[in-house]
Amino acid sequence: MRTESLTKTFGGKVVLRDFTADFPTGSVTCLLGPSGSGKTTLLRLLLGLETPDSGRVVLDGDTIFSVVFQEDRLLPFATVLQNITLTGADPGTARDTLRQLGLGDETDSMPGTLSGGMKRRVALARALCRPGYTHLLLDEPFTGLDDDTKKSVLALLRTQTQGKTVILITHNAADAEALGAAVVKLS
Amino acid sequence: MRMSKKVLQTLGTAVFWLAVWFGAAAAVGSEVLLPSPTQTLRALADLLQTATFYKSVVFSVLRLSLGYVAGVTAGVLFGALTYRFAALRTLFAPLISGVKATPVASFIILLFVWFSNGTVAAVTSSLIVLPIIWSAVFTALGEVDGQLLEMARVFGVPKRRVLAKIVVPSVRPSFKGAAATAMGLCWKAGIAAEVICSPKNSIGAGLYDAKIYLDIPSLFAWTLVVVLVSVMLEKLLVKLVLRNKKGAAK
Ligand SMILES: Nc1ncnc2c1ncn2[C@@H]1O[C@H](COP(=O)(O)OP(=O)(O)O)[C@@H](O)[C@H]1O
Ligand SMILES: [Mg+2]
Repeated sequence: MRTESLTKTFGGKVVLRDFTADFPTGSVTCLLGPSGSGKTTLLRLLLGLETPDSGRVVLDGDTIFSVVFQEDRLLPFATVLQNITLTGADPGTARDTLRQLGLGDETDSMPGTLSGGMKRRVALARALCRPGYTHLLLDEPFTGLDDDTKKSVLALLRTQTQGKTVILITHNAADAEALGAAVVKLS
Repeated sequence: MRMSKKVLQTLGTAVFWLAVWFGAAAAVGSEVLLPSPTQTLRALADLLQTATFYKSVVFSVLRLSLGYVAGVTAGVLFGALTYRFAALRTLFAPLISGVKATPVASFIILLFVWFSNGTVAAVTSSLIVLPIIWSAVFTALGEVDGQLLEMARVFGVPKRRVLAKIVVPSVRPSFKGAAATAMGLCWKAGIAAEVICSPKNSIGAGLYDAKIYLDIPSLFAWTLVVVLVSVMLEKLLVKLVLRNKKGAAK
């Protein structure tokens, strides 16, 4: 997957200018950049949720995206488990993943009763459980996680995303190292 | 302890207003102008011994419930269709505003020209319900969280599931509120239509006859019945349909 001289403006404000980058299939790429540098915008362009002013996105064939958005985007009126099976995920797989993320006891909880970090992990579980996904886009997925939790989540990501094309947006260069990822910088 | 305090308060309030009613009736001193609570209860007891009473209540409830269900169904349909299709919105906007702005009495009299007596009440009650449900559904559809819909699209969630798992649950709270409000209004307007058209076997006809014969205690008794049935219907609606998590916002 790659972008070719992408330019995107919002109301005259240039967010991305002539942005060209390659996201190699089957490996992890980290997007680093300060707040407001257009990381989320780039992700949305890749997903086809925004149209570029010029340039283009070239997708791999048969791409199935799975995403952790910058926001949790959980259904407030559905349980944690239902939020994950919404995407067609197998309930058994969903339970396993939740357990591995330390949320084994929360399958039947409503999102409103969870802490910020727990909701973040539910969003992560939903992304990891989407059946047949090939590309995983993570927009600051570690927000609200304490260091220990983050460590175990990183470990889980390493094993569960073998062979997938992963793009991880983060503030933290150490995350890239932990995943052995290539780094693309935005400014 | 707190329960009994509440019961005591309710009881006290009831006693107070009953006393006011008794006092006012005694001061007026005329059954025709203002019957006392005992006179009203006696009239009610008389009513309860007639077959007409039960037939009237049953038929009124059936008639107006039919209007209610028709109004709710049409309201949901209109709300959904006008939300989905801008052209329909433009087309139906004046109709809905018209229905909203027209006084109930004008409706009833107009419908009286077109329909048979019993139908007028049912149609009136459905016309009261329709715009309330319509605007609630329409507004709520516009307020469905766009981020959730976008998430569902990216995750390839089928349209039917989006409707069932995101749209319907999002719309449900406003729908329930509107359905409960509409119930009360529908009942009052329907009874008003019955009074004007006086169809056989109706609470409205009972009220009308009581007025014609200046049988004011019976007028009060019928009114009491209207209020009681209204409260019961609303309770029933909340219990049977609105509390139930599934199937409410169909
Ligand atoms: N839909 C939008 N409308 C207007 N401005 C936007 C929109 N989306 C993003 N922006 C602007 O684009 C810039 C980059 O935003 P974003 O991509 O969210 O940055 P990052 O994720 O790196 O923090 C910000 O200044 C933001 O205000
Ligand atoms: Mg961002």
